[in-house]
Amino acid sequence: MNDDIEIRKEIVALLPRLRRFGVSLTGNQDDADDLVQSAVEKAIRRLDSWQRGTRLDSWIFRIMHNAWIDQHRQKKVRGVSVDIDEVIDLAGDDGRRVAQFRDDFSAVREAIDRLPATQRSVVMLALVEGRSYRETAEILDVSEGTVMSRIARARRALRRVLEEPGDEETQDVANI
Amino acid sequence: MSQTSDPVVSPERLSAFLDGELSELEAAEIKSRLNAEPQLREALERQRDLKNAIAAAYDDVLDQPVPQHLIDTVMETEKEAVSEKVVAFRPRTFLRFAQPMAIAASLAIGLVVGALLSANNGAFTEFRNGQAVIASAHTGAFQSTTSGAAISSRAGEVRFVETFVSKDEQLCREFELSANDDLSAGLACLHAQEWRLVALAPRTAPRAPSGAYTPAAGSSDDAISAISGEIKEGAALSLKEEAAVIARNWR
Repeated sequence: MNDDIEIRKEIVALLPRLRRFGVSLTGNQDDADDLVQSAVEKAIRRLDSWQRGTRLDSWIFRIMHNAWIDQHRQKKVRGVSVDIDEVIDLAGDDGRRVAQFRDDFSAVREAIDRLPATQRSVVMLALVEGRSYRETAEILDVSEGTVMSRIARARRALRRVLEEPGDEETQDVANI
Repeated sequence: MSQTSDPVVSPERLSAFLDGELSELEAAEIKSRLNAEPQLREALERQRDLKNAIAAAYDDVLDQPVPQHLIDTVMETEKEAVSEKVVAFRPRTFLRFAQPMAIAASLAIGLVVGALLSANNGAFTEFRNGQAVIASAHTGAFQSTTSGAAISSRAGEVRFVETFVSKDEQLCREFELSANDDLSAGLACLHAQEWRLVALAPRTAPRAPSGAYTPAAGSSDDAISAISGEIKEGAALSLKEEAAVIARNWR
């Protein structure tokens, strides 16, 4: 019983990070909290199925990601994903959408938000959560190679949106 | 020259290098190239800036306080489960004493619900999108406990009186809430997977020391029963019917 309470306390300590992951998946805090609520309810119900000795946070992130996929399929929460290449085309040459990412986290967030969902998930887990590619792959139930290529594609897309125009030479070299 | 066709510094490998995901041998190859190619070094620095910006982009979410209902969901569900207990079932005949005056009084009940929520109800209820509902942390117990039984938590005790189907085909539960020394009667109906509070009113009749309830004409649960009577389609569910509804997860 005490062990069970300790696990619950650990889950409570994870809530801020789950909410952060939720915001990245859903695009807003209200939907994120609904998703977190759904995920922790499932986690609590299935607490017996969590294997001691494995990472509790990975287990709950996986539950939450699966819950989001279920919601996404059922309700089309975010509507149709916007392909970031389309965003670039729409931005035109005047650079209105281009921002200095060093000083503008909201622009970075907006750019991440426009990534395809599969890339957004790996960006959040590997680059925001700081998970290894292997852990990210386990949470998302994909291969490490898939994680690696999705991150590389996401970086390229983010850079194309966020980099200032007129830096073509560097961009060419830095197409990573 | 573009690096995208160069296998040593392919986009995937440079990206993985930045994340510390390459083997020592692979990393050494890239370091060697970086030492020799300032342009590549500069590009990698810019990518490192981007990585740092990405890592910090959602920091504000971490700084926000976590909604209490999320914490309650994790911590309080278990408390309900272990403290669930069966208490004496209030004689149903008492519910049939609904007075015309009580029905009229019910019109005013909605006006005081908000105050009662905070003054009387504690954590059993919460507001969601402007609607008073049974708190998420208690929904599971609210749905799994049969009439005649009670659930309790720090906030007090909820005892279920009866379950019925309303005229607009919603499942509704009438209950009594005791919190501190206050006693209330309430009615909630299931709508879009939420138990919406239809009415709640303080019970003014004194509570007997033994824990038994003393019926009193005009007391609030008469009024709540009157509302139930108004919206009810047919009779309340039998315990067997109620058990079947619970088994179907209220569908």
